[in-house]
Amino acid sequence: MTLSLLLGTVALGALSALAMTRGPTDEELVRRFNDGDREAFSELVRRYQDRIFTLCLRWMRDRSVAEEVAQDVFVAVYKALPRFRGEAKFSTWIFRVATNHCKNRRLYRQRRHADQHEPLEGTPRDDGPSRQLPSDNPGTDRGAHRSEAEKLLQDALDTLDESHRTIIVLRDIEDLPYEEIADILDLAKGTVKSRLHRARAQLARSLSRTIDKDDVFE
Amino acid sequence: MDSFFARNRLSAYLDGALSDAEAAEVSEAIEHDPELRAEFEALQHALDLLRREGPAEAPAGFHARVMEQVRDEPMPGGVVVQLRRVFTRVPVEALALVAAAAVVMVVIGGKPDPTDEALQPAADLQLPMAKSGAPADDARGGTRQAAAPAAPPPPQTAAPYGGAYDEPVADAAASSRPAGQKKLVAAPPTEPMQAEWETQPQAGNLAEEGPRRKADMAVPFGYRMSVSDANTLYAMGKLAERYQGSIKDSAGRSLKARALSPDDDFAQLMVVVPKASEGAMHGDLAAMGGQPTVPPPDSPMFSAEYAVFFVEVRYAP
Repeated sequence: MTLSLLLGTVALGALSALAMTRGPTDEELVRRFNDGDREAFSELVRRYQDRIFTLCLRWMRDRSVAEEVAQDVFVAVYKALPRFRGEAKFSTWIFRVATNHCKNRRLYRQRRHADQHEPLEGTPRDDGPSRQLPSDNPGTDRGAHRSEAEKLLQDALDTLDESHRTIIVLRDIEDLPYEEIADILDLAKGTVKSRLHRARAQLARSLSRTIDKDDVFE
Repeated sequence: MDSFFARNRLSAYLDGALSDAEAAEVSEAIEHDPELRAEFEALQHALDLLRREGPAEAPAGFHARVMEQVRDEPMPGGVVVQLRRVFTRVPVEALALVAAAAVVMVVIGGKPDPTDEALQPAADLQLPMAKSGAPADDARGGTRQAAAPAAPPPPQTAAPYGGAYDEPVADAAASSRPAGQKKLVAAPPTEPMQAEWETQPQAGNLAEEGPRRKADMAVPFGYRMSVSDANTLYAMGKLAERYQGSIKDSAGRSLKARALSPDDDFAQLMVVVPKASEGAMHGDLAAMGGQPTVPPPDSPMFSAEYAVFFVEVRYAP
């Protein structure tokens, strides 16, 4: 009896310590923000800035544009938060807002560039020659190698259509589970799986056309 | 498991999302089919590269810049939220009682007299601005967002981005309004301009108007957006309806929402909502990807009791 009481106390203590270490949940922060605590929003920005920026970067590929879009996302979230009723997870909701922003901005930019008869910067050419990455051997510039790999990856992502790119970014870059991706994109889980499979296969084909695998994946 | 089924499960296999039995079968198929193995390896390489790149870091100062941008925005956690909470705590029975009492009062009091001077639309439209004295000639577009009043709680969940709507909604608010309600001061302003402004001279550029006229008029906000959703106009109509507003065409006439298409890929419309919903509307348009812009100087004029958003929508599927 005494032992179980002791164990219970220890478990409770451990749980509260864990909760204190982890800090407030997103939903708690949203509630605090809606109660007038601006610092709670600041914490949400801190918590999601890297992930939202990454998503925007993979969509827009240009860092300055990605930053601009990511900022717009947070401003939109700030304005819309009072109407967020917690029916979905906050992370699901913010990724949905970000995905929509990226789609719209990209379409806008594509249209604008199409009007000017200029290609979007960095748009890969389908008929371009295969590229060799800088060597990753000791003595060479590893940063340059990574940068080139990132560029080729980005080029490959750009060859995907919108739905495939979205799903790859959410799953393989943002590391979100199938269920959450299904919620964000309003798709059935089975559709997420099959679409992800097709997207990855297409990405793999695209990468294999442009990258010398032995060079990149060693 | 044959190669066809295994091929379709490669992605889930890489994610560890298959049952043990299925995973074992896929593994065996990979082992025995060189073509499948090559495909598996290509997928694995692609995923390795994606995951090796990992998440990027937001640029230095990003957090501070975001906080700076929202610094002057109204704090949503103020009076609005408190009111909403109070409202949601009121039992449904009490609301039903109030509604019943209102019906009884209308029945006892009879129909409102349309000749009653206090209920005349023109007086209704001009009085509030004369009292408030809000400047009508401050900066247009997004720069005025900072001064936007806090939005009242919407009657339903506001998704950050409207989905598809399968029926036109532009005139839904008007069609559901009982006859005669338009002239009631207490009723929400659902039809902000037509009858009222037809008697006014056609307004041109705001800068050319006299001082009293300017004070009576809403300064429109401009937004432009590129959308992939063919039903965006329906979503706009629904959004306006949520705030007891409506959508208009660029001439100020009621707009019947339509589906956009590659052959009909551009639309100009005005979303007209009560002034109290101005802040919320900014948020919703921004959430739909709207970018602030300067509205055309000759856009139709509306009473300053309304917030007017001139929106250019470009459809890009």
